Amino acid sequence: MGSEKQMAFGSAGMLLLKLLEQSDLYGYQMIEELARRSDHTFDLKAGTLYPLLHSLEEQGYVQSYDGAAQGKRVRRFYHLTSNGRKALAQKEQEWEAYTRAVNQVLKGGVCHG
Amino acid sequence: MAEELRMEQYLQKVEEQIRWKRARTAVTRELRQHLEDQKEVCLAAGFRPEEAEDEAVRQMGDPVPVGRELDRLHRPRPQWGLIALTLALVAVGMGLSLLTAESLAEAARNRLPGLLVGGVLCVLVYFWDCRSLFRHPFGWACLFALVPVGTSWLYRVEVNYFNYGTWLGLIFLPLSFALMVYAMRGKGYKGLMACGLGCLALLLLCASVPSLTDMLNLTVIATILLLAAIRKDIFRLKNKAIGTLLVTVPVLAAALVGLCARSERMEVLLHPERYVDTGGFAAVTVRHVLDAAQWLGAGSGAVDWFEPDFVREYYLLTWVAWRWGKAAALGIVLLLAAFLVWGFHACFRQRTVLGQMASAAILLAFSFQTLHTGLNCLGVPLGRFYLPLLTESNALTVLELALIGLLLSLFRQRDLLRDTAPQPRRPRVKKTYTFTVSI
Repeated sequence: MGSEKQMAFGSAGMLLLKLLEQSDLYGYQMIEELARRSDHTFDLKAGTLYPLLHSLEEQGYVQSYDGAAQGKRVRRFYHLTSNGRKALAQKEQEWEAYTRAVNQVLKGGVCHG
Repeated sequence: MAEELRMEQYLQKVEEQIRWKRARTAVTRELRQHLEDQKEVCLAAGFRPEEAEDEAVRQMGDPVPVGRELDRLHRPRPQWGLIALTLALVAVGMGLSLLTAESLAEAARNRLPGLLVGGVLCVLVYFWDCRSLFRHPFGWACLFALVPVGTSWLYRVEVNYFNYGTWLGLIFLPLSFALMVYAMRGKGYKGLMACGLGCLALLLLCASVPSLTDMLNLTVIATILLLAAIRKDIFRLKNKAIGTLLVTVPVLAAALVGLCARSERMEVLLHPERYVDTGGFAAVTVRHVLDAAQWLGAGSGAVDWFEPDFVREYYLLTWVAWRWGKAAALGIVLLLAAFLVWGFHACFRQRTVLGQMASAAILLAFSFQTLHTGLNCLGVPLGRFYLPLLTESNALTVLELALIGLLLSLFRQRDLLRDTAPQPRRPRVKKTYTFTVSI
């Protein structure tokens, strides 16, 4: 159960880092963008998002700053750091290896023929 | 009013889980902004105000686990190791005073006032909410730049045209410059130029002492901070290489001019034995003392010390090496090195640009003082320097403890500090003129 939880945490973190790859975003934008890109498969709750973002910041993968959003309102934006970029590349590789292995099992295993 | 309560109740429940009171508002501010955004979207979708708020709160999830998770992530981070090293340095300084003073009363007079006032100041600054530095960096930069003016007013001591009072406060200038750089973030080449002018103003304060070595120190520290700022893209320059050249070329040119103008000083620095009657006397004496010093125990033979008080103040390590052995002096150097290494380690772990810049400025100031004193005590005549918390001076102790308090405060509140984005530049509006010619 522990590893499943960690995997879910890891993949959610990876998705957030991916969102920040192109531009800095604030929390609400991230939820909207994630829902849009996943065709509403991932509707992340804010209560899950913020602890996760703060944890990514603690690990040095993202950096936050107060910036002006639309309508001159101040929002806390998140920026992907160079460490975050490296972690994202590694996570993506791991994810590809994982999905390849799952697909191979689903399709009947590797043919050693 | 009822609709406000629902959101407020949710935020209050989250806040109740967070034990660090100062972090509560900062953490829940982000959640509040999220709730407002969500509510606005619901209102735009045709929800009634109460329904919109209910929906916004519902989408947040259970406040208790959210608050507990945020509590785990947001705690003060006291640097116990650094605090222990500070106390160890204070204890060694006190011990040295007790061993070298003629009486207990003299040792107490030379140390206790500085330690008491500095200790109280250090504790006050340690628990101070240092987010104020982030909100008003330029104001604080100006205030710290005025510290030498304040110390010169408090200590009107001038020896051989050397303004001791102003000199005491120079230790705050690197911090002032770091805040100045932060205040100029996002301002491009103009910001970089403003930092250059600011640095010149601070150098004038060093020149008013006059202290060439402090000018050199400040120039090197300012260059390090500026180059780090350019590397981190703080100024948002179009071309970082041009920015680097704009900093390094004038510094190298000034260094070259300085070397040519003070060639005789360089000559004394390299060959003090040729200038025993003038600037090389102290360095030559220090070298003789070190030759007579042993690794363990008191040095052999008689040594002609020049003014013991002066020696204890500016050649403390040499004094220790001669009285108790070179191993004792090395132990003190290692203790200071441990303090600085620990400090820089914590500095690199800071999340904010200002946190890193300010702590690096304080640590660099201490590092340069330690390095120069170390060289001075080895017989390289560099000028007047002191060892942080070890040199016997009540005024210096107060200033150093205040800076250490700020350093520890920045490290302790690391999770709470946030950089603020620079104000966006106003888009340039091209003025168009229309001329109508009627014939």
